[in-house]
Amino acid sequence: MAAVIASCGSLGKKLTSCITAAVCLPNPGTRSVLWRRGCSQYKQVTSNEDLLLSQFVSPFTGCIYGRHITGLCGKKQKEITKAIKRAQIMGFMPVTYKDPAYLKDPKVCNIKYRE
Amino acid sequence: MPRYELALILKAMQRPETAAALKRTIEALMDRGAIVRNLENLGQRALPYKMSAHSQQHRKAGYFLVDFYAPTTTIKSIMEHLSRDVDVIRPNVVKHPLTQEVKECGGIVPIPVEEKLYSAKKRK
Repeated sequence: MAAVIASCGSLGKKLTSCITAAVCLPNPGTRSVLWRRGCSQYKQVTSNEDLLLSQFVSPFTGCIYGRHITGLCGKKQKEITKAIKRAQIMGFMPVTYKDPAYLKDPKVCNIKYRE
Repeated sequence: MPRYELALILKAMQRPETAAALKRTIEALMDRGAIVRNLENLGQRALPYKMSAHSQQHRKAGYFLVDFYAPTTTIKSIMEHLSRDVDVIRPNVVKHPLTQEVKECGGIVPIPVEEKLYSAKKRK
């Protein structure tokens, strides 16, 4: 288990630097990510923060990324989904596209689009 | 009294008219027994999508944030009043985010799956 965690840590350097709890799935059969970054970095999610919420939204269609892409735990995924929907209805965030000002943001999710 | 936040979206107007609309809104809030704590201006910017309110279509608006304390029974009358105001495009009263308690999230805990896949009955 310790060896798996060490290999996960070396793979993780490519992605965002905020890594708090690296929890590995011991089952090698799952195709999904080897480790999940800690969702405890997202302390409080409010509907005013477009910058944070836009990172979990697709730039082409504006749909919210699923759990297998964001890598968040159940509670945080639900919170972020609710905050995104609330921001969209309240008129803070666009629905069908991602705000062009936030297109150059660092990638938080594991999605890879074909160039 | 619980703390609320009013995300007010006002029509794109000149400065004196916006000031008058804000004054009207806050006076209406105070008439219903609310205590206004702070008023923030998030600037005038383009709306994320075209909104229509009071038989008019809007593409630009001024965003304002009012946090106030109010008794729970008056929120309904506040919302009614704001929906009747012509200058207000979209009023939204939310519980103030700073009052929500922040819970520590422990991340995803791995569950041993083998216990649930196979029954605990003894096999021959």
